[in-house]
This record gives sequence, C-alpha cells and structure tokens, in this order.
Amino acid sequence: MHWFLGILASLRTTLVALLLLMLGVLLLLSTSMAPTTALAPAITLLALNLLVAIFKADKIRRSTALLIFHIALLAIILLVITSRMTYLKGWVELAEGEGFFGLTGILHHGLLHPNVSSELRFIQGDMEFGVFKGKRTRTHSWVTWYDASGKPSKALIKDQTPFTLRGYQFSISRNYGFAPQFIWRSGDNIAQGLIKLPSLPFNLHDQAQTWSIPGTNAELWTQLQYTGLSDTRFNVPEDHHLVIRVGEARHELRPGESVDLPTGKLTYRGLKRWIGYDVFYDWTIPWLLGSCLTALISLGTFLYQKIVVKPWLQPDK
Amino acid sequence: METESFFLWAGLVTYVIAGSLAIVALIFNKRPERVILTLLLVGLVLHGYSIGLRWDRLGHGPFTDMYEILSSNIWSLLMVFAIAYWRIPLIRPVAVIVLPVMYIMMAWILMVPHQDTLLPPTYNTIWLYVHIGFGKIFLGSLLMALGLAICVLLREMGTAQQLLQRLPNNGSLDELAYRFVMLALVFDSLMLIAGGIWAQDAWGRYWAWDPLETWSFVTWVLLALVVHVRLTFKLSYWTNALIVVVVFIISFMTFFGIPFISTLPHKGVV
Repeated sequence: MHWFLGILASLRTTLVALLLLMLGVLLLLSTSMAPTTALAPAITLLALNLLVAIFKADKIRRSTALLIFHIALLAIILLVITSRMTYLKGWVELAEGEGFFGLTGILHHGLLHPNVSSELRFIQGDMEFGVFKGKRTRTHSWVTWYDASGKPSKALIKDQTPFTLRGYQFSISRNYGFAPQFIWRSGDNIAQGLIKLPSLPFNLHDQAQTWSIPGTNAELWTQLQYTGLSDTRFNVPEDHHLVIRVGEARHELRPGESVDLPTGKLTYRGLKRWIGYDVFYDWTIPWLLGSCLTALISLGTFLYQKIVVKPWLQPDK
Repeated sequence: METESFFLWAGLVTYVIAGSLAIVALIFNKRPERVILTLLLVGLVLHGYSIGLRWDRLGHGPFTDMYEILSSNIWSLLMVFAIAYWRIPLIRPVAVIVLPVMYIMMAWILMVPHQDTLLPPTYNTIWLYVHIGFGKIFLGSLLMALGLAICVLLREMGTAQQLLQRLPNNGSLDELAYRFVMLALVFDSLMLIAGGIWAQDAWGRYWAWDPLETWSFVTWVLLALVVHVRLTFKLSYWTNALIVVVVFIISFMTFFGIPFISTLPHKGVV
C-alpha cells in the first residue's frame, strides 16, 4: 500500500496525468467526443496524484507556498467536477413587453441541476441596437425583474454587462429580430400570438415563420416584407406589411388591419423586436476564480523564493 | 493613414538597424550595447507613435485584425526584449538571435492588408486589456527563452562558437531559459483566467472549448509538462533547448494562426 501511494504521489504519475490531459485535449480537437469523457481519466489521475502528494511528498510539504499551490490545484479540480454536475446552459428569446417564464431551450445541464426556479421572473423592456455596415455594435436591453416579495426593479443589460438573477446569468446573444404580434378572436375566445421571425442578420432574406392558431388545426404562415431598415440602428421599419397564408388564402396586413378567416378574426397589432439571451448557471465560478488566483499567487511566491536563493549564473565547469 | 505607415516603417527600419548592428558587432567583437539599446527604444517610440495614431483615428486599440495584432505584438515583444537587454547585460549577445526572429514578423506585417477595422461590442471591456497584457508578457517571456535556447543549440552543434563566446556557459543559459519558461507559465495562466472572466461577461460562459481556447489550453498543458519533465528527469541542455523551441512554435501558432481560422464568437463578431 505504501509502495502504491508512493507511485501515486510521484512526479512520474503527474507526467502521465499531464500527457493524458494533452491526449484528451487533442481528442477534443480532432473528434466530436464530449469534453467530460475526453478529460475524465486525466482529471481523475491528477486529482489522486495531487491528493496523495499533498500528504506524502516531502518536497511539497517543506514549502508553504508550494503546499498551498497544490491544495489550490486540487480545489480547482474538485470545483470543476462539481461545476459539471450542477451547471446549466440554455437560451431564451424575448420580445418587448414579453415576460420570462422559463427557458426557450436548454443546451446542456449537469445531472444535479435543479429545475429553473419559478421565482425567476422578469419582463423584457425596451431595446437599443446600434448597427454599422450590417454588423451589430452597441446593444442595450432594459428588463424589469421581481424579487421574492414581488417588488419590481429595473436592470440594464449591455454587451459586457449580463443580468444575474438568483445565480442565473443572462448575457445578450447574437440573436435578435422582429416579432409580429397578432390577436385571434373566435367567439368569446381571445388569444394573443407573438411570432419570432428568424434571427437577423443571417436570415435577412428569410423573414417567415409559421404559427398554430389557438383552438384550431390551422397553421398561419407569415412573412415580413419591408423597405428602409436604418443603417445605424435596428428599429421597426417604417414601411412594412405582412403576407399571411392560412390554407389556400393569402392576405396582406398592415399594422392595425384585420382579416376574417373561417373560424375567427385575425388582427395584426404591429411589429415588435425580440432579443436573445444566453443563460448560464454555475455557482462554483467565484470559488474557481479564488482558487485559481490562490494557486497563482502561491506559485509566484514559490518561484520568487527559488530565484532569490539560487542565482541563474553558474560557475564554469 | 500615410503618417501611421511612415512611423511604422521608421520603427521597423530602426529595429532592423539595431539587429544588424548587433550581428556586425558580434562578428567584429565590438560592444555597441548602448547604441543598440538606444536604437531599440527609438524604434519602440516611433512604432508606438504609429500605433497611437491609428488608435486615435479608429477609436480603438490594435486588437482585431492580423495587421493590428502583428503590430502590437512586434511592439510588445521588443519591449520585453529591451527590458531584458537592459537588465541582464550578460545575455545581450542573444540579440543576434531574437531580433532576426522578429524580422519574420516584421516582414509578415508588410504583406498583410492594411484596412480600417471596427471594434466588436464584446471588446469594450477592461478585461480585454488585462487578457492581452498578460498574453504579451507570456509570449515575451517565451521569446527570451527561445533566444537563449537557440544559443544553447548552436553551441551544442559546434556552430558560431566564437560568436557566442561572450555569453555565459550553457548551464547558466539553460537555467535562465527555464526561469523565463516558468514566468511564461504564470502569465499564461493569468491570461487564461482573465480571458475566462471576459468570456463569462461577453458570451455567458467562461470556457467553451472553441479552437482558440483549446489550443491555448494545449499550450498551457505543454508548459506544465515542460516544468514537470525538467523536475523529473535530468535532461541534456540540447533536449531542454529543443523543448523550448517546440513550445515557442506551438504558442506562436496558437496566437497567430488559430484566431484567424477559429469560430466567430471568439473573434468577437456579433
């Protein structure tokens, strides 16, 4: 057992673990293997190597700075493992005036991540998009969020300033676009529809989407047609109309106009803008940052102590 | 723009004169070290002025396209070298290796397109400067290690013995190169951390294994391997020097190759 622990604590084991890590990273570059799968063997071996070395390696224990460095490295590994078990990565798209009631999509999440809290509530407000030569420049988005008691507060989300609510971080994504708003009346039933058209600028010439009309089997296909988008700001175009198709029927609607369909009346209220957010949750981030900085400060201290003690200039042999 | 180009050319020509003087001086066993240092500093001022003019005109620093990145890296790498040249007199003959290596980058910048650029909105943050600042010190440290390693290799090959006789012995050069590699590891780590903080705010994730991040991590693991190989085995000066050359080549490729073939998000395009 003593022999085995000695091997586990040795520098040769560290080398093997680092080589495995390198192999894992190269696998990520050349295959579609998941990072967790590619790196798990190396991370496991490194964690064991560090854990045993902290207790067994005299060279590490003789220097406080070196010991703290290795403890911090172990902390980083354990935090990364915990992070992968509890994180979430998703996305949401919200139009002006629309409330957040849950993610549009979840890309990845850890096995132990809880469901997104229903207390996570906010309403999308106004947006400002700067545009230059077809590319988005400055983006500002205002939201109104609610605390546990229901008290509202405003927040401004910018390109470099995400919005964090109950640990969930909302960062402005690349996606934005237009969203026609409809009202559907059928008898006493009234339903609202907000159709998010494909994201700009990549889908500039494909601004069409379908919507299932509530309470019917019918699908509404709608296409936005417009002229005169501003070169400097992303705003609702002044001159636009919608082409809609329901079954064989084709209609054109401007804001405020309605059309009678077999099962009800469809009113086009107007065009809104929508914005996309990348959503990220990982409670370990501040701890990871603290561990990384601790590791670097202790490593730097250890190196400085080595440099002061031993000059680089060696006598000729 | 013409004024910017003039000062860029003036800076590059001054660097070339400094490097040529270092080579000639070594051949003829002269020591115009003060002149060489002065020329380096003059070159840095001229080149720096060119960068400043462009910064003022465009409203943003040299961060986006190949021309700007090459220009700022030539400047920062030579700044690191000038500081080492000033503070470590014994290794000044290394200029005959380092400066010609920089000529490659200088020739490259004269061939890349020279156009106005737009700063992506995700670059409007202090963490850009922190991340890039650490990166430049990291690469500068590796450049110094490279210069020392090449001197060791030339000596071990029996080449240019007379030219390199003014330098300390291989053991000293090897130890100093290793210290520069350690410094590179510390600043590479700081660069990755600052990059993660920037990415978290800009893109809502601190790490996503995109090609640039992955290759940066490869470089980091390589540096960690180099340190541990050295701690574990007693390798020859030749092997140690060769390892440093390999690490520099991979780091150089990561910095100057990958960003221009990698995915859009890391180029800051929204």
